[in-house]
Amino acid sequence: MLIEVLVERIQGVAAELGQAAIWVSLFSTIWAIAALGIGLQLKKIGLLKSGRNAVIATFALISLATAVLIFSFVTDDFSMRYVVEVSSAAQPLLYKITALWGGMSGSLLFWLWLITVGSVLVVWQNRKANDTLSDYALIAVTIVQLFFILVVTGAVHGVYSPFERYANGMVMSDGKGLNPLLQTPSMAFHPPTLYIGWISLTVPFAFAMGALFSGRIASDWTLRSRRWMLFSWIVLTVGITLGGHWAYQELGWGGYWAWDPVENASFMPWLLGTAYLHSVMIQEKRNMLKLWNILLITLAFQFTLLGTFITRSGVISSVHSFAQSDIGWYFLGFILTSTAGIIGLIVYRWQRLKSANRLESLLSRESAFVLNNWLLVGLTLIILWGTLWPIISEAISGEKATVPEAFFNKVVIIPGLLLLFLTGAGPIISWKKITFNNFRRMFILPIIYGLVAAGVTWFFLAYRTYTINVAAEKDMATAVSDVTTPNIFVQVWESLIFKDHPIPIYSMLCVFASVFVVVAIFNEFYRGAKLRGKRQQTSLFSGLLQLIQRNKRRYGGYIIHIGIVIVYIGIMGSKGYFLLESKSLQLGDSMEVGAYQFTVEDTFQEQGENYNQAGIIVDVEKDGKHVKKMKPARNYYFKAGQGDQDTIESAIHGIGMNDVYIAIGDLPQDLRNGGLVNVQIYHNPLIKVVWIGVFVMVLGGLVAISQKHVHKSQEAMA
Amino acid sequence: MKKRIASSVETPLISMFIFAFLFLSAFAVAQDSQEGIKPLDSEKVDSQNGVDAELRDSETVESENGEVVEFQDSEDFESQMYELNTTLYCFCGCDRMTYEICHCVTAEYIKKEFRNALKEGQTVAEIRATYLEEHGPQYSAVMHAEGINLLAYIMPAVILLIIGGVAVVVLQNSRGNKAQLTQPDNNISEEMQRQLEAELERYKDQN
Repeated sequence: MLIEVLVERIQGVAAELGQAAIWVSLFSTIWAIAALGIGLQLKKIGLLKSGRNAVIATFALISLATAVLIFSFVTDDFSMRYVVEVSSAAQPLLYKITALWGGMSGSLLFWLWLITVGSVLVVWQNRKANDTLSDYALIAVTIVQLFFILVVTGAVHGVYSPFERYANGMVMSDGKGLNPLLQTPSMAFHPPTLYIGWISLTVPFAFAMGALFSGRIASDWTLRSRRWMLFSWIVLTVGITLGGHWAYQELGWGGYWAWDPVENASFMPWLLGTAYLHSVMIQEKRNMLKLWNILLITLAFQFTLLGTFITRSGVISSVHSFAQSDIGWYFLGFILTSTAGIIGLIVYRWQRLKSANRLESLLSRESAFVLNNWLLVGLTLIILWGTLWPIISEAISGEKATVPEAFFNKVVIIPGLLLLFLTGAGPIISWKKITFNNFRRMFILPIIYGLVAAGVTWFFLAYRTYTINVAAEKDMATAVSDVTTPNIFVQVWESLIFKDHPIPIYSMLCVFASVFVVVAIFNEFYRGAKLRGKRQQTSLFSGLLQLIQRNKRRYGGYIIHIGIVIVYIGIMGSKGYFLLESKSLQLGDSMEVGAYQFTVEDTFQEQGENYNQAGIIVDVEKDGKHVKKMKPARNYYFKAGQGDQDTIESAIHGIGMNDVYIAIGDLPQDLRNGGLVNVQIYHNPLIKVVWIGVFVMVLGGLVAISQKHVHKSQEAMA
Repeated sequence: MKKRIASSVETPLISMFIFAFLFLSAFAVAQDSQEGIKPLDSEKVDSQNGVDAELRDSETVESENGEVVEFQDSEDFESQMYELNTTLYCFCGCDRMTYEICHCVTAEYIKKEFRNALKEGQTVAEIRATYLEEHGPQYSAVMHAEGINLLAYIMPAVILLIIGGVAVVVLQNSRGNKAQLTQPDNNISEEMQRQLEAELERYKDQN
């Protein structure tokens, strides 16, 4: 009773408290910018301290506002417009909390809160050093912060404050509910991880701006922001993967990546961040590419905002755009304004941005890094081009096109494969200039292994094609017995040469490059571990552990490269060789996909906390033996907010590294009386390899980020 | 400079690289017979995809003018259905979902309409044209490298070449012989070198 009264009292003032916190934070941020700016100019320590305190105060205020909004969700305060729009009383507690970023206003507040966390961490990082570079960086962060505060206040057109109440004290009986597509565990964690990745990208950008403000363009800004950048990269990797996993489970189309504009928006900063992580090593090692690194980190940051513009403005349609309004145009304005400012700063610091050293050869590790950057930035711009093509084509021809997934697959495949090759070539090519000895020692073995693997792949895929084609004409059992006869080589050869089968050129190139990378990197590990083991008179394994321990950055990077290879193999299998069959089936009907037989046995119904579930029970058999009962379903939500009320609940069964995936269409009322339900069955080979690859990449990232001091890595790179 | 580059093996290597890159890119775009990376067993997929049991069994169909037309199901028919289902997006609101993968009621209905239209003797091109006229060109899931779309396909290669060209020019200009290089003194560690540079810049700031 007491708690209820207390909750009611707090609800009575919650919105006003949250709104007041936002407005006060506006002034504290302006004060922070002014105090830091003037303090740096006049070299007044007192002002600098005041500015830093204002940053902390802003964090406290925005934290208060965020806590108030979460409280309003948890206690179902339906006097607040935002709570009504994205929550409902029956919504599970987890999704009441995640509703914070389920709509426009709340997600911006959440984003703002993360920026304030970032700025406070910069203050904390600088608590002992008292270095002015951090203060300059703080100015840049707080300018970004100011933009977000202005947007969140609700004072701008097109977005209302998350604390806005209905007029005349009106209180709704219930909310509209969160979009059902967002009511999944993946979606509970996917947006925050992406936001955290984007925000942590803001800090290295701020340090770059600090370097431009202060004129200290040497490597110290890169050293200070190195772990931030790595952290951002790791979190973005996790966030993007969670998004793919969500799409795979929730959208019912059996895939995880379709080059959707919002997917692209999250991928482009990742690509640029990856490019930066490589090129910054050249700056640290050779004092080169200073301008390039500043441009890269700036672009990476600007692309996070551009992604928001694409997502929120509605100029390009997407399956992921859950919150659209005029807000995107403010982001575009901010991007353009800040870009103009940054260009001005670069021009002002032009002389100091010149490289101190020069390249000796175009065939060197430095050049490999540059080539890597060329491909990563090129890929980013290509993806941007494809993403914006609907707008461009409409401007030119008056017709708005939709760019299919196939377009992106075609235009990124060659640069993507080249990039994969560089993942192995980069680490083994020598600094300054490649020599014939270096080539012979480091390249020959990986190339031979790669070529052999590509040949084996050709044969294996021809065998697979032949099996499937024979199976298409006969029943599967006969087909398998046919191709396992002793004259299999002759049959495969005939199918390869005489039956006009296309050479799987991309798969072969992918396997060649993957094996090349793996052999090259394992060779690096092996040689290093052996040498260390010999020096320390210890085992190879201990030598390996010591090697990684001593050069975490370098060997963490190599582990990431191995992870990338695994992801490529997974993509090749799951995108290139999936099977899809779709049929309308009655109860008792069967269909075959690959070697599996699927029979619709029965229907079922279940009730969740805020939805009803209805689906079918599918019996899966292989060679007449029961494998699994799968239950694809549709959820019908009582409240759906701005989304559709029903969602597809795919049934996924893992078999080794592959998945069998079933999604169903709407269930007809007369299903038990001869009605038909559309059943789509996918066999996705190697899809688990994608998730494993990402795990390895993250593991490598964590190893790399655990290195505190950069001088060790300098030694490692030499 | 010109002489030095000409004597190097790097220029031919880079030229070969660019040539190979262009060739492979053109090859990727030219593979336009099927959109995307087609599954190897697509022949089998074609033969079964999208078959509606209710319609599959019917042997006659009523045309628009009321005539009852005999219909003969064939593999060709199914491949035409497959083409329609994979080259048109559903307009139900599920963005970028082709009829092949869309699960909504609209998709079911439209697929039946496609079947009926094919049975009435309309060609895939005619059905596609009617559909796109009714719902808009944004529902086309194919983008052939022709007309205005050719620009979309060419531009990625241009982007890479421009960035690559700029990179090569910058790298060529930044190359120098050993005498020109400002290598750090080998007796000074790089850490020390960096600290010195940072100190120097701080000194410049203060003055």
